[in-house]
Amino acid sequence: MNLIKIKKYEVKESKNGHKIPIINDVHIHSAYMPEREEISFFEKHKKILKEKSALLILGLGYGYHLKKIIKYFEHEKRPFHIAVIEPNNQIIKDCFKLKEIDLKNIKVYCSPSIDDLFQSEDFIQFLLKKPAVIPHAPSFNLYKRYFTKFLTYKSPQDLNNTIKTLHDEETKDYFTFHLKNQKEEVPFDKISSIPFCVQHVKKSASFSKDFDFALIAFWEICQSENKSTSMKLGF
Amino acid sequence: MGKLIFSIKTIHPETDISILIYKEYSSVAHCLRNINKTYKIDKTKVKSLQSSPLFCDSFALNEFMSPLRKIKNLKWSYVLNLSHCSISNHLTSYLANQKHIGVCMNRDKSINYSNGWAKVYHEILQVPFRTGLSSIEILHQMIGVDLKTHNNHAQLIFYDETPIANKMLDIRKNHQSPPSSDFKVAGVLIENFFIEDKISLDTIHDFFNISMQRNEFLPILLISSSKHEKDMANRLQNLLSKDIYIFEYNTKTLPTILLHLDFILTSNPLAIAMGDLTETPTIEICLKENVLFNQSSTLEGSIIIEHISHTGAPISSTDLLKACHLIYQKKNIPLNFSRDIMAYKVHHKNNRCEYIPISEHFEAEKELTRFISKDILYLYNDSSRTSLLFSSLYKNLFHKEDLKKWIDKEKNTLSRFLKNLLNCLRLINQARQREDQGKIFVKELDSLLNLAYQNSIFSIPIHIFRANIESIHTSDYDSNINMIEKELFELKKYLQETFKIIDLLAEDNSDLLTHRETHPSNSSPKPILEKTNQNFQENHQDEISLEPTL
Repeated sequence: MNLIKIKKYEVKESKNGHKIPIINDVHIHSAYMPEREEISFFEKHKKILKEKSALLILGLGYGYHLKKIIKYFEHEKRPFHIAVIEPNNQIIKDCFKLKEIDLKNIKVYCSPSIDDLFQSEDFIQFLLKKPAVIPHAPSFNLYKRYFTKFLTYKSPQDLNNTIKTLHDEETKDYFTFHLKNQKEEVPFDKISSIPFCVQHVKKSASFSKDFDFALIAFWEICQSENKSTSMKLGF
Repeated sequence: MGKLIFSIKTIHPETDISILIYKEYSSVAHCLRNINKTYKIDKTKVKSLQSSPLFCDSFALNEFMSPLRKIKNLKWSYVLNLSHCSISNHLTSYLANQKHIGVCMNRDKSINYSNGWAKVYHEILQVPFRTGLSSIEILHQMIGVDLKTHNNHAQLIFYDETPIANKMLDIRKNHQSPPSSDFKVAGVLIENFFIEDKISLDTIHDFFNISMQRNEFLPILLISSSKHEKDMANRLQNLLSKDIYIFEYNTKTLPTILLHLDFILTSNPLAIAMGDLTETPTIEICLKENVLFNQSSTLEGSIIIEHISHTGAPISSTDLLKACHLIYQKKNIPLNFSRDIMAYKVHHKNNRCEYIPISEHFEAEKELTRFISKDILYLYNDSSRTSLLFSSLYKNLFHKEDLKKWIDKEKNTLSRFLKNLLNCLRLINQARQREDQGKIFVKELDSLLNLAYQNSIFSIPIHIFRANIESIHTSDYDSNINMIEKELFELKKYLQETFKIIDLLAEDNSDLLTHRETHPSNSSPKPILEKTNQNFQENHQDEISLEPTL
């Protein structure tokens, strides 16, 4: 399903000479003064900026809305991490060419497929920082289906998808072949997720593979509560 | 772990030791010397990745497997499981196959103990049953190395000498007037103190006030970065008329701070363990009964205070001050802690660490059970030991009446235990013949297993029995019955062997048990503590002899 339909892409100048993209007749930035947008965007999200140093911006445009935010963090001398999702590759190229903002501290992710986005290790590591999610309104409205899908995304947990994203061969082999050949004849397409595999191993009479032990340890870590540091130390 | 690693390296200097640890504790591990490599599992990240619907579980699995891959690809002589949780047990099985020390899982899902001490560590240390064995001592026995004392803390731990050290030295200079080698500086760590109202802020306030007035030692407050401790520190400072020194520590700076202190007052297991490594004597305030001795100091001269709460009153500043005087062995101090306090002092003999009761009031029955339980565990697990270390020790600590009473009580306990056991053996036969009798048998078995929680030396075999029963993993009814019956007979054998120890004790001390003494009053007999007190402080080696007499 194509979530982004670009019928028309133009670049015009604002009243005060800044370049602005117009996509499908939608102005991505203010046609008069993009700087005003920079200030209003900052003011609107000032409270979050005081609390969070990791931001995920939905929509890059030509980056005008990011200028004041970057200046703010630099002025506060706080380390910051900004990532931007921009589904339109042309806009990204133009933004880099224009150099209206310094993109060295910003990571831009461009993927027409939301599934592919959530399979990027780099993007996952960024999401683990628990960033504040801030939409750039014109971009969000233009790519509403795309961003809505992003915001409501749930990763598929079927074993096929799991195997695709596993790193090493032994673990892949384990899930692909070992469970398929179980005596209990669980239909392979019914093994829908790692938790299901765990239950399967727990119910079986014995551990037949070394990885069975690792899988149980993994699952117990996932289910464990956090205990106080000092009590856990066998120092 | 620090001491254990040192002991291993002392005996086997060619050994390379690496550790697998949760990332959140790695800053602690980085303080320790003698570690070749540290592998980390980022538990927080694994849990975040798995629990979020945004991420496929494979990311969590990749994160989890990343350090394990590296370990699995290397050849290890042994994998030592120093934890006692299901996670580490399964990981040990994954990484070690046959070459493990401690606990791991068998393929048939039963638990595999490498030796009897592994069973003690896994089963007995986790229950509120006092053996007087610290986890460190059990781990040493499990691995088969003697607890080594060190002459130089630099052999065990990394520390940074600079700014903190200078601050500490300045404190001494400013407060020693005139300079005196007797002047002490004590660290007070208040983490956990105010839980369950065992120690109040008023107590700490009094403690600081009186110490500073008397000028015998200078107390310094040590706090972590937690908001709660900072608040308590501010409140304490506001109550006091004089300014106090407050140091904020972390795992990196704590070793250096401790090195410059003469002793510490704490309930924090990390600080206690670090104190052992930096040879800083500890006054441990044990706030929960079922963890007493588990993670206590093994440093000779350290003191453990247990709050028993007969009267419901919190620990008093007087008790804390008495412990402080004891720790730097101020002479002629009476050991009359309040009735709510049990105090112990750490004493080493024959590579064993003993916790000797030093308060005037202590429950003889409990302490006897503790001492003899420890001996039983050593006798069970080390066939070369044929004598009881305790037998000499008790003569100075317990009155003969206490021993006699205890022996009688244990004999009665054994009778009850045996009655339960014999019932089980009778019912298991019936259950074998008729499956519907199984429920009745299980009920009786439950009663037997519950005896493990009684304060008796005969609880030890029941704990071992329980561990063995829980490892039975057959789905076949008849096999189950047969295996349980086998364990019941093993239990009977253990109970009888344990009884022999009581016989030995009675025989060994028949002179005392039959000798009549006259007491000036009818009040409950007191142990010979005055003699113990005086000699313990002056020359405890002479008085408390742990040489076997059998």
